[in-house]
Amino acid sequence: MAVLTVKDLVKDYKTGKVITKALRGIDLEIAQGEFLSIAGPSGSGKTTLLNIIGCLDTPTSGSVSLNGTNLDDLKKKERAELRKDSIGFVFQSFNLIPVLTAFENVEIPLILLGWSNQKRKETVENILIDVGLQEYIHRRPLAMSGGQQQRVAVARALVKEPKLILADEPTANLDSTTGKATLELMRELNEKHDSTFIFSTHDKMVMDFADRLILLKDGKVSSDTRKGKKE
Amino acid sequence: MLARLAWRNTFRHTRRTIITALAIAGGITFLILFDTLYGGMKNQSARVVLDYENSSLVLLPEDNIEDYRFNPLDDLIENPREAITVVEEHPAVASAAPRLRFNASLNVAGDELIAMGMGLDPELDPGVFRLDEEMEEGSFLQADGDLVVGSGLAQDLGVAAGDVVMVTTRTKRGVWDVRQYTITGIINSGSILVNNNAILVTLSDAQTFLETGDAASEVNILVPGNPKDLDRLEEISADISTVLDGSYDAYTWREMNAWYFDAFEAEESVAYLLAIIIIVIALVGIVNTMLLSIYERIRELGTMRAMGFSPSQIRWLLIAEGAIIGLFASVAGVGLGILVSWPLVEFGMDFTNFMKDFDINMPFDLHLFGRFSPGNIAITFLFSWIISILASLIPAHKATKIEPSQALRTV
Repeated sequence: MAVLTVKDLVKDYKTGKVITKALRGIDLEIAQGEFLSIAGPSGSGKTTLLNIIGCLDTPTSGSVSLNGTNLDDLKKKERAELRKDSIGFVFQSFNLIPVLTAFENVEIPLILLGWSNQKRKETVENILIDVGLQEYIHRRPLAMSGGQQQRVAVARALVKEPKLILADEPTANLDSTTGKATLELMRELNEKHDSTFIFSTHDKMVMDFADRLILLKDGKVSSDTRKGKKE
Repeated sequence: MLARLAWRNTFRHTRRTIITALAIAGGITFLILFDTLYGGMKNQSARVVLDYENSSLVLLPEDNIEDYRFNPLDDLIENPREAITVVEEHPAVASAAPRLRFNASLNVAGDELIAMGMGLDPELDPGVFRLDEEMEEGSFLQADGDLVVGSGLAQDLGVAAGDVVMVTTRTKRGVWDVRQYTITGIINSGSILVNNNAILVTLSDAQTFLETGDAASEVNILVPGNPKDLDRLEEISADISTVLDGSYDAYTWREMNAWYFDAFEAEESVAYLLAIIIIVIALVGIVNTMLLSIYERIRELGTMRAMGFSPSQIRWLLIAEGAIIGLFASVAGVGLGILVSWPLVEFGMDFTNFMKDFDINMPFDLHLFGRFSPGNIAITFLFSWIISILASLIPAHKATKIEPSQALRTV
């Protein structure tokens, strides 16, 4: 069953009198547990699509349905609730809060969900062990390498076990070895938690790594290739 | 979590936070210094009035208060002894003393200076006032023929105890009269009005000199207890006026010196307004600092919104940051204010030399001591803190309007 359904999605941006067509009618169905990559050149609409799927932006027309909930029907506050409960984000620049430690950054989503102290502590420590950062839990982001920061960001996105994880060019700021290690980590977590991962990228390694590759061009899907799970 | 985050965000740019807090603290320091100085002046002026010039309550002839300062001799309390007997029966009254005020000039070796003459009862006056404790040279009035001169007046005329001076005055009948006195004492009180202007003679001497019979200008009534409890004094004053059948009016010391204290308080309000403006200007700093901080971490705020922080959580975060800066500024401002004002309270400041050439006829002590007002300090602290929190509402509101998708695109 599809966890995410996108139908005829259109997004126009208006700057003064100029209208930029970012998405020109996207149709997609994404199943639970998929590990897919949305690729395309700059300006093809990857980030716009991810933002709309992630309830960070609204479409000009068309619809997005997440687990049967039509996102168009949601008010601003309900979209914030949905993000809090069901979606994890990984950003190109990691976007960790610099004044918080790795532990505290990962803990935030659980605090927002109202988890108890004890349960939070156990869960955060476990996921930081999963991403190999048990030695760094009390370090602040600026005292960590880019790869370590991205692992914290992945842990933060996954800690609440969301149904959907959106990663906007997650390897763009990492060297190839660290990028590959991050992808392997995400794959491992995808298999462990059966979470759905959607990446936007123009990194060939990410495209090759994904089970399914959707190519966007000028705001439209130009190809949708399924490669099956990688072993 | 919001509190922890707010605390750490506040110290993300420590120097900026310190500069903002210090700007506000500077305003608070000035306000406390100013309040201490004014509080001290007001308190000392009240003390000067009560110790040397008018006591808690003053009995005057009916409807005489408007002309009182001109020392009229045609409208006097004809039988002050009788009035004192009646007044002293009131349970709240400790003692009372008559005074006869007159305009005079003091002449010595061709020099002449205008003086404020006072006829005092040497036995009763010390029961109400403290002039007798302030002798710089010679002795206080003891018998008819004695003359005590204020220290400033004596200095201006170049006279000392033992010197002979001529006192000129106009009698009740309007006749000019001149008498020769030998100065028996020089008084240096806390009141520059007394020091620079007063000549003191015995009441009976003044009555003879001015041809007023047994009359006096006023009867000063000492009411023990808090002199600033004006409601209580007004009640006693009303009782006394009733007992005296309305032939005399009793006024509080504050009413007797309304011209001074009203002007003082009006000036005080303007000065407080200026001080508050300084704080408000400093608080604009909070708005600027916080707006700058929001624009610097706009992507971070966008990330927080993406993670599910609600607009109200973002608002509270920024208000908490403003509250922390405001708390530091208020604590620092109050601390600095007390530190800077403390020498003024402990040692005072002597304006005697600075003001010696100014003719000040006000109930004023030139050795000024500040006075801390814990209530005003607490109000200043709370006011600054609350205004800091209110100032942070503007940037906090702006932060809630950030669209996460736009914020995340910000480089």
